[in-house]
Amino acid sequence: MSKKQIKNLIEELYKTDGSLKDYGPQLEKIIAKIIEARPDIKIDEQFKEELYEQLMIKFGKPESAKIRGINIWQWIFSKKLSYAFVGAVVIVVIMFGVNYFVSINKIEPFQTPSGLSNEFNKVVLSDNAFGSLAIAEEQGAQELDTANAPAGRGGEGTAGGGGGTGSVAPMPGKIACMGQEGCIIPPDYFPEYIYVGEDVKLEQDKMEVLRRKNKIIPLDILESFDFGLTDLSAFKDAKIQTINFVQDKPYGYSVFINFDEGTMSIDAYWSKWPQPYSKCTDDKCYETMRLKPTDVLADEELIAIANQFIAEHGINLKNYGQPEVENDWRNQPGILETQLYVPDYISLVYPLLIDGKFVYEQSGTKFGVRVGINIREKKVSGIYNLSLQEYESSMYETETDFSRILEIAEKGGMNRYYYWSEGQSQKVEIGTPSQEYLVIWKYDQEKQTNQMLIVPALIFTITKIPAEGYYYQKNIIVPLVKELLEENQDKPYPVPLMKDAQ
Amino acid sequence: MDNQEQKVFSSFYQGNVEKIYRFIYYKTHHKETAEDLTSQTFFKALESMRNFDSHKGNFSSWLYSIAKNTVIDFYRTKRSETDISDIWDLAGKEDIERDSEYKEQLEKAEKYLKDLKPEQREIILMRVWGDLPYKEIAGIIGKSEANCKMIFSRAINKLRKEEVFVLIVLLTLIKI
Repeated sequence: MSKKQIKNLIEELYKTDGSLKDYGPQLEKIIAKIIEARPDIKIDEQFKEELYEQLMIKFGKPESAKIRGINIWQWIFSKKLSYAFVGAVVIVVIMFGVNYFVSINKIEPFQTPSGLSNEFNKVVLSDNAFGSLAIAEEQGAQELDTANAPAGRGGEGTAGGGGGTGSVAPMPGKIACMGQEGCIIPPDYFPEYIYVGEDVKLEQDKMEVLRRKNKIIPLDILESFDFGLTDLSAFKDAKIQTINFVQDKPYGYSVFINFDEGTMSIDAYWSKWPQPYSKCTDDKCYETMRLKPTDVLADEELIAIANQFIAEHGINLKNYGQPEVENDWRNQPGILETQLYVPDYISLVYPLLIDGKFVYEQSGTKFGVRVGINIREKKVSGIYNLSLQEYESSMYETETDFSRILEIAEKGGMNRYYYWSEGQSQKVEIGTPSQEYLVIWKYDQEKQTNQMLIVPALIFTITKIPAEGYYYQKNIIVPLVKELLEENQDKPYPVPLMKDAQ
Repeated sequence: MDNQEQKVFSSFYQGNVEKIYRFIYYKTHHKETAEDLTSQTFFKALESMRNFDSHKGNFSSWLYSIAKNTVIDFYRTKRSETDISDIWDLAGKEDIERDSEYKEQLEKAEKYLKDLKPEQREIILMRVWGDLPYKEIAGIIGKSEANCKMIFSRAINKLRKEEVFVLIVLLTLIKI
């Protein structure tokens, strides 16, 4: 310790106890004496390196992961195609903590390494580590072509495998519509959102944003696939990006795994399921085949079917809440109960929970694992959006002025796609918000991948919907991250729609 | 761990391992024991990383707290005495391994600091030997920064008074 440091210590002592100023030289001597007695300890460099190596082995250096899980399989399974495939499947089972394959392929169960189970994990990064969160700046006008349509994300469809929620990127303004075929500027008729809740105090000026980590598992097993067509081992450093396999039997399933995104979905293997409309050639036939509202099972029965499937296949939903049945199909204003259009598939959502809070999609519905139920067959027809819960976390500046949030909520929040006929004045009442999360998708131009971000948001429950017309939204969502808020403030109101999307 | 995590971990390790080792060495006076307890500290830290709450303190303090508790656990399994937090607290040290290299120097320090309370001594060692800021010390021992400063100043003042006392006794003896 230098003389300067001794002086600093003495200054600190004076600040704590002013009476010590009378004993300066004495104090200096005492501190010098203590310093003098300090042994000059140096860490053994070899020990330092060895400990580092041990920690890396225990906590997952990439090379060690290969030793533990992948290359060993490669070695065990040698050169046989079928075995290599089984090896890949086994790794997926490890990743998801899912015993699904065990039951359908009759592979002997094995112990899931604790480090690879589907635990919620996050790595804390510095503030603003994900760069700009603005969706529009990178997606811009090109999104106009797909406005109101899913952003092409597989594995998040509703029952029947259709659609997905994806990101609805804000338009850069009405100008973006100029010259675009099919784009219309809607008339100025939209609901009037009225806040009927209490005043809310927002105290945190920085909050956590999560980014789901895309998991890339390099599998060096290509060389094991020998079709006699080409030497696959010539493709150096290749990795398996996706796997799709099917159960070739009645009521079989098709399983799709995306290693790049760390996601998995299970779908009915359609060719092995009954096709009730396949022999219909006219409308009368279709009419006869239509389901009636009385054919639909009670919510409890739908949940029981889903739960049983999940339990039987060991699907890990540790980070998800209780399932909720999506009964939006019943919302068909002006249609008699007996005349309601009944879908063949009904969805349930097991909502994702982060720190005990729900995650919402921009449409206002809860985000999570979706399970489709085939109403005719009373069987699970698909499971979508199973993903690893591995995140990176970073703090971002958030809004503390509630009036600013309210201003955006009263414009419809993130979702502004409602229009009524001219002359109608529709009122929507929104209540006191709760602080939950919102999922947004941002396309990384550089990596050409979609990034899933979970941002803090206020969820305003809709307490009163318009008396007339079709209105499906249950919540108004306003993100708390300043950058996203600003983006929504600039969003055109109302948003231009594509003719096809209306 | 992916490459990014590996980089973060590597920098975390390089930045802390030597400090933690010294901190433990000052409490054990024995190279092999200090190495063993340093290893345990890092393994415990990485295993319980999820329990770290950044709102309750900084990461470095959290790591030192693990090191401190690891040393306490070590002495608790060695001795039946309670309230032993490090080698300085042990009455008889005959059965405890100590390095001969620094023995003389450490005994001198022990003699000098022996009349201080364990907490006073610990803060002096962390502040003067370890060069830890008060904020970090506060996080490790679970007291406020102001309280730590007060304990430090009282400890130094006590040493000053003892020196004066010894001087007076010596002068009196010379006169006699």
